[in-house]
Amino acid sequence: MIEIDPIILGHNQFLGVSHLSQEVGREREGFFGDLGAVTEVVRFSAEKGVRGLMVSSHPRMRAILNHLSAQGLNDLTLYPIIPSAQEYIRRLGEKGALGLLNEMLAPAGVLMKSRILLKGGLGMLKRDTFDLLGTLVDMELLPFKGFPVKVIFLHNILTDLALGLGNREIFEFWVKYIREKHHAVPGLATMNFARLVRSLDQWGIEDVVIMASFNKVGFQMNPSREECERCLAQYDVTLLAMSTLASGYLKPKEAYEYLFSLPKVRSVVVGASTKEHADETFRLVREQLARRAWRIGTKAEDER
Amino acid sequence: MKKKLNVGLVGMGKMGILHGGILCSMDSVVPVAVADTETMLHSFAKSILPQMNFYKDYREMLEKERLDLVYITVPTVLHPPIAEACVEKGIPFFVEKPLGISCEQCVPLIRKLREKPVINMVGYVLHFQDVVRKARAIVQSGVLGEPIHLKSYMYVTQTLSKSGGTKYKKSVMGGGVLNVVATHLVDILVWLFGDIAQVQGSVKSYHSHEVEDFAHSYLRFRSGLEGYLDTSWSLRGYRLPEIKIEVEAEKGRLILTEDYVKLFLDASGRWESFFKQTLYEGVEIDVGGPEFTREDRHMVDSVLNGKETGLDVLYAYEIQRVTDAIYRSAQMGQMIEVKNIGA
Repeated sequence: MIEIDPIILGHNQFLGVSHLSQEVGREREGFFGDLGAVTEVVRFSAEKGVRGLMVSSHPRMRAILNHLSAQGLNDLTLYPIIPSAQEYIRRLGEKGALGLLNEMLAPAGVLMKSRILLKGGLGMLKRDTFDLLGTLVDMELLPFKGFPVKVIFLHNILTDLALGLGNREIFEFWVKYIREKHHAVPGLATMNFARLVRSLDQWGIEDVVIMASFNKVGFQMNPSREECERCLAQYDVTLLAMSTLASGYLKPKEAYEYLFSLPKVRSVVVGASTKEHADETFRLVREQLARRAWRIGTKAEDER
Repeated sequence: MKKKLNVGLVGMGKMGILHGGILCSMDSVVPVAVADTETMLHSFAKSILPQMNFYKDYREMLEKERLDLVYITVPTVLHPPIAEACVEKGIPFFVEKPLGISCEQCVPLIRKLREKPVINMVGYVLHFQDVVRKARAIVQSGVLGEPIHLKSYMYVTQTLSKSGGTKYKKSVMGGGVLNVVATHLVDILVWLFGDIAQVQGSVKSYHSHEVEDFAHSYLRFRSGLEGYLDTSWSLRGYRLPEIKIEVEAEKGRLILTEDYVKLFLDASGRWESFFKQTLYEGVEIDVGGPEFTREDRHMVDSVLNGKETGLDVLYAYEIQRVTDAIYRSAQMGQMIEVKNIGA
């Protein structure tokens, strides 16, 4: 069992991202344009014992981390999710796959770039491809230097693409590279919890943290809520639950009652835009965690 | 044993990678080949997908491979000629939207399809989005009565500085935000409310040299419904493409966004909301949005079952006519009859 923070503060609100609606996202972008507002929520959360923070390599996140560091908040535990997928998709659309590849190769080092470009027309070796991916991972993680990092997640767009391709080697590379090069726990974000869990089991890939949507209405739970719940119960999984409020649709109380009624849910990503919101959310999650601990304790006693 | 489709992809850009990921996951599909002019990409992709064959020229791929279905995800100007090559070979195809850079460019494809029909589909993916499907079901049910007036927009933050490059060339993309992005909005409007008869448009370039960054058009539908669309890729604050359609009708009002459908009926005197969260239906795999999976599943099942897709080149041509009509109207400064555009 991998131990991670039970409550991790999400970062989307700080970047003006809202999965409820873009209108809400624009409001938040304006509000958190002031880095002081971000610090206030993060500091309050840390004081309440929530010291885990999701982060991405989004350009704005760098400014936020620099600010937090300058404010003495550099002992938070970071949970990076890389790469900044939206940014790559934008660049992919703008420059095309070759343009993006060239741009990505730019910081890869003269030797590696020459080797890859030379082999480009002749046929790259698998090792070259994974060398390149390793370099890209290193670059993506640079902004988090100086902070403790617990789990590093591969963005769901890439996890799910690799899953669609059925490419076991990409997963093996990711797990080994994060563990050995970055001394962190490998994580995989996904919109396809059930399929991913089954595939990892089949491939013998263990000890990863999976971040996936779990919510009462089954939003972004594929192929269905029932199948995700079944796989959660059946397989040995460390889950970090996300989208627990179904992008703002559910009230926190009913959302967490459902979530912590499930087995193996020990950690959750929460979004909080104000101190009051954070306070209420942490209280509700902790209440549910305590209730479940009590239920498990009572059950164990009954069985004895 | 169940039949499996041998699929080839032309183009390894953003949409090619997305469809490739979904198709590879389907039991009823065997992705066998990719064609892209960039050999550098071949090497990169082949090292990860050694089971696939890579071609620099799509014609060679069509010649050498035994394909049951071809996905065409290349810059717009190449859509019609590659689709024509598929028709000549009798191979069903999926082509991304829009159909082409102009109606004129699409006419030979339509002629070839009439002579030698093959199952085909154009990538108007919003037909597979939960909220849009819900809105269509409401409109089709007739509860709103006769639609009277609509306003609609589609905005995205994409171009905020001087833009050049292939993506902003009229000869490659057929236009700017209207043909590249808001073709989705035109599609939904037509799908929900039927054919558009007349348009009066205006376009404005600011950042882009050759194509428009802003477009606006009055629309008059055959049904008598009137209203307008507004679109831009140069507005701040739209991280993702955002659509909003508001319709006033005889018996109520309907609002559609990517996040919800809201319905007001005079008879009930209240709003009813249908949010994306409750309309959500899981898919076999989600790679970039469930609507893309449904779209690919529909294409694959149509070919497997020998059925028309209902979202074919002829339908997409009608969307192209509306877009072309708006450009023509903006150029001439007058109202244009859509029926006078194209063949």
